[in-house]
Amino acid sequence: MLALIKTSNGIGNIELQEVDIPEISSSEVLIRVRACGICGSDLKIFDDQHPFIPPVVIGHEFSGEIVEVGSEVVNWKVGDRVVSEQHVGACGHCRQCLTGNAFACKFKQAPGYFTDGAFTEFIKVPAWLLHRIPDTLSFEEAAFTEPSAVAVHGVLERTGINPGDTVLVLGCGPIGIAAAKMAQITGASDVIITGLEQDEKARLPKAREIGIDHVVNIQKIDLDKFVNELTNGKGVDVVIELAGALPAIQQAFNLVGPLGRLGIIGQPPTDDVQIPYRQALFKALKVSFSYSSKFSSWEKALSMFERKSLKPTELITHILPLKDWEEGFQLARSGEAVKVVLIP
Amino acid sequence: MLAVVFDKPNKYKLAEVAKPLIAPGKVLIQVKSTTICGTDLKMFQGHVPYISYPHIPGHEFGGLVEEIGEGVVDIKVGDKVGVEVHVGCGSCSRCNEGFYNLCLNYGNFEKGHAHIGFTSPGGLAEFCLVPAEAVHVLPGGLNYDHGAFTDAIGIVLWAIERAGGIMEGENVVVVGPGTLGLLAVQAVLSFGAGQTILVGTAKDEKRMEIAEGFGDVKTLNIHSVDDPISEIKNLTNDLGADLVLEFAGTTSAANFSLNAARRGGRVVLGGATSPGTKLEIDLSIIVRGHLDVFGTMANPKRISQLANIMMGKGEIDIQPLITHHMKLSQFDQAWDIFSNRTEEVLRILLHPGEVDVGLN
Repeated sequence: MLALIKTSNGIGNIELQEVDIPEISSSEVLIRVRACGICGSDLKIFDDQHPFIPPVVIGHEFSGEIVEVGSEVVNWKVGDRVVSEQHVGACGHCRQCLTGNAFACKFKQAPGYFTDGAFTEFIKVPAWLLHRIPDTLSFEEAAFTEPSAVAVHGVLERTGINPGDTVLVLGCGPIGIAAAKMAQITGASDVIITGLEQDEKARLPKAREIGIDHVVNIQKIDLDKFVNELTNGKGVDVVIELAGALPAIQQAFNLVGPLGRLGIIGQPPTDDVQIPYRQALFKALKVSFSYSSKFSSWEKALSMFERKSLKPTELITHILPLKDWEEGFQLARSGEAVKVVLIP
Repeated sequence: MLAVVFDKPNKYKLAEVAKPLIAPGKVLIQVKSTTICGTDLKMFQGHVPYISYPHIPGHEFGGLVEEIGEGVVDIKVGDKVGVEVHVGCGSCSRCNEGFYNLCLNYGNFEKGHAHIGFTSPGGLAEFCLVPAEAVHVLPGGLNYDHGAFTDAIGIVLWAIERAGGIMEGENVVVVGPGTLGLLAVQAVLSFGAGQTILVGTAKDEKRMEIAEGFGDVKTLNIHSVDDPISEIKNLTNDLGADLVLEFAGTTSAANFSLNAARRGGRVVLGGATSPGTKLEIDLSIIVRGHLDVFGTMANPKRISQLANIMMGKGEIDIQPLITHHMKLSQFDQAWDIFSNRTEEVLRILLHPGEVDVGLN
């Protein structure tokens, strides 16, 4: 089968190669990949800015149908339409696994980074990671479950949105737009999303189109002033940081009000981030870092899709065959696309 | 001024009484839109404790600020306002936690407590004097009729808050399609529930129709099926509801609510606010069911502010719940309709001035 492989460390070093179809163990299923989205971290792997173990098939935002089940697998059968959590290798018996937080298991080897991923025709995963795709969803839509689950985990489960909250989402990638929509869905009163001039190509217009309350191009509008006026100087109740840029992280601390909450999902390029520590202390902020997602996040994301309160079709702007991956990566990087999905 | 006066249990009159005088810390409201609640019926029958007669009822109203007392800030003459009706003493341990609905000095005026329309004169009158803490200045775009719902919506929002809110995709059952139930359904929808199910009886047909108009709401008339609990299970993947909100106030409704929850689910009982209704249930439903059961009453922590925001954003629409507009002087007729539940009545908005004033 043809697979998109990061062959070695360094910038680039990604190519389509012929590899063997994986063989499953008794507790795994083999999935024919039907769609796989391009994620910001795929671009970071290209740029050698994200951990991975080469050579590895990249791609992790996938959906597909089961073509083979291991001998011990119950509840799943050939033909089932599925998406899968990313916790391949998680042990299943440590404290994190047993408390529903397998994403934090030290044995986890996420596909697309540390074990073979889904920019290819077939992928194997342990059956316990699967979720059923509702009948009303296409494979392309279902491929948006993983990034949505990341937003659910960070925004709804780790940070929490209370009805009436004013929420500022910094960054307008697909997860940012989904995060802003989720805040609205769960009762936030005013949701602000920010982006840069380059995001006017697709992402900020998309946020406007799907009805985010306030869409701010921070290179045109002074965000500090905007937030001040909107909140009568009180600051927002919640900031979701998804830009991963150092100035944005500073701003997150500045614009949140007393007793506010800060959800940090975006990944900055360095460990050395300066924050206004005392200001955060005096405001009594609650800061929640969030990484990956868990069982409940996936169920909630699929529920939103099924109810059509969050519509992946609105965010998927480009669907390309796997062989055109370079074009897809370029569209994602330039900001011309919101979400690009590759079809193997 | 004109006011409804309960002289003693089971006796009321529409009478001229003295207009209240402004006092420090208080706000005098010219009532523009006011209504009758089921609790007023219970109060009339003498079933509500701590009422001293003669009494002016009315605890859901909106109006115009006529005068402000010394020390009142953030509220101006001419503001359009709604009220919430529990005002605590502000110094007891419950008030200090923000739970002024549970004030330890309930009924004690000297310590600053007031329960408007209960222990202090209410809003079924041309004017009402209330502590400034009770006042919510209405956001732009809202009218006096919205002000008459500021309190009631706060009650359902607090009931949801009691149970830790609604998590995305949770299946929620609302029991009792009265005004509170129909407001709760709208709140549940706006907080991202999965399946929203409203439960009522054969006489609630019209109310069920209203609920279906709010969005993706399933309705269940318990008289139309042999086993209504199994109907709930059918609608919730054979599990039962994640959250049940009860606003019916009867023994059978509470029993139904506890049975409708899934194992490990949450049940909020909010209907039976007056004494006398018994809970009769096999305790294992709660114990083996591993249920979280919450009692709730009223709307502390300024949650009614959110009620106004949600009305302002159209997440809660009060219009379908307003079945009648009348003048306050037509109270006899309104009382007759409301207490006999004729004309498919839900909320009758009474207007001390012109009927159309409330629509501005």
